[in-house]
Amino acid sequence: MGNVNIVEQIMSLVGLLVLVFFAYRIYQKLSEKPKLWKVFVIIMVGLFAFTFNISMFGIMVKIPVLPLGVWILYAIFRKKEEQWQVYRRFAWLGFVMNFVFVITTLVAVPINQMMYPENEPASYISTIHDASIVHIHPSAEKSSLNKEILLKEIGRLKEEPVRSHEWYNETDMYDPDKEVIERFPYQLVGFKPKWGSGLNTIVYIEKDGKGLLIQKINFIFGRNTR
Amino acid sequence: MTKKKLWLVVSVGMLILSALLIYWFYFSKPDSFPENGRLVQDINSLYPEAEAAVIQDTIMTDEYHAFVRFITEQGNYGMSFWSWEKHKWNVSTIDTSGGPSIWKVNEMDPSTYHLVWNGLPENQIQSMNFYFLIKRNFRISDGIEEYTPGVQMKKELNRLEISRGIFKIPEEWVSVLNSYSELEAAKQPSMFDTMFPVSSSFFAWNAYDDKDNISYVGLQAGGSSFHNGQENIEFVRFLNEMEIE
Repeated sequence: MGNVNIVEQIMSLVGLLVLVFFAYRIYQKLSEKPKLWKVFVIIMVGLFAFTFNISMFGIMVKIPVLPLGVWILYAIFRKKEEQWQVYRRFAWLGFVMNFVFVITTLVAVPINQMMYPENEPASYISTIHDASIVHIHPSAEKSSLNKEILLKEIGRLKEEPVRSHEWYNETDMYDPDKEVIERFPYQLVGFKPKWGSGLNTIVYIEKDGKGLLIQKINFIFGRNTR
Repeated sequence: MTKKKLWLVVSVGMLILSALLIYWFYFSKPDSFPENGRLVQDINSLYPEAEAAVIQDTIMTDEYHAFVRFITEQGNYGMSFWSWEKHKWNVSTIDTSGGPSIWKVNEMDPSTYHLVWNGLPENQIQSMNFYFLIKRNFRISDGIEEYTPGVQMKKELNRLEISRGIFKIPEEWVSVLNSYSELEAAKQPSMFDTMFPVSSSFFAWNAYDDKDNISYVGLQAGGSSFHNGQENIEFVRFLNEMEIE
């Protein structure tokens, strides 16, 4: 479960239940019942739509525009007016479900934010039972992970901007006589994010041991400022 | 028995038989590894330019993969990589330079990566190093700043281990490599493109003589390599002193 977001999973299940509910309602009202597998296929084809992707609240959602699946079905049933009257509703239900899935995706955002706050390092680093540090650069000094302190301090880290250009430039790489000092010479490995968050990250530790550079899809820099 | 029943029995029988055959062909346990004479023959028939003469030794990295070192007619040192596939021991790569290479036995699993080489002149080299590196990098786009720390991890070998070798990459390199693949798995396919350090990572090696000067003797060996099928063996490049942090 470490890799998947439980909220998104539950929300897509909710979306599916909504679909089943409406399909059942339509089915019940029909005087002439079609075969169930046919209804299933019609809904699946109906789902097929031309969409455009937009970014909302930091995630990508697919807004359906053209009901391609419905058109295809209409073309197939053009000459079978009676059957089309039966299947039409299921085809449109398939298309409308695209909107329902957009809504469930969007609803998941604030729930996620509540359960796994993005600006709190504790969301990314939760279980540290098997955690350790790796010296990734020769400028790292011999050191090991103090798990107790990490657990205690992780809630107190303050988020700071990533100053990538500055950090890059302050590392003097071109003077052969000078030792190159990496700002983040350690990596934290073997930790796990909060259960069900799906927030997989790479975590680097600053040379003084006080800052964590967290790489997820974009970077977060948390630092102990005391 | 009616005709219909007979058909049923025959087709079920065929199904079981073909399942067994498929299992035998793709999934059965390997036969014992061929003896040296056969290995030389196989190498030379697939890649005559190799001119393999003597097999030095065979190292099984696991049940299904073997690393075989050999000496050529001209006295050069070669390497060959074998795997058990389709019910046969196949040689996937033959290399007559002996230069350090990385063998990604299972590309998806860094803990199966091996560094291999053969025939370095040990009397001219005092120490040998292997490196795992990622270039320090930064990027700013749409107001989002990204910074990838420079990575330089080293494995030093002593004099006795220099002439030829095969070893699994250190556990710490594995854990760093694994952390990238976990992050990549979490990436939504529709997400904006992000800087992934794994794409700029590489392996390297170098050597020093007894006066602690960088030594290029290992680089002078010529040779060539031949790939047959899946290529999961890559040359490890030489790391110059200027590039070392």
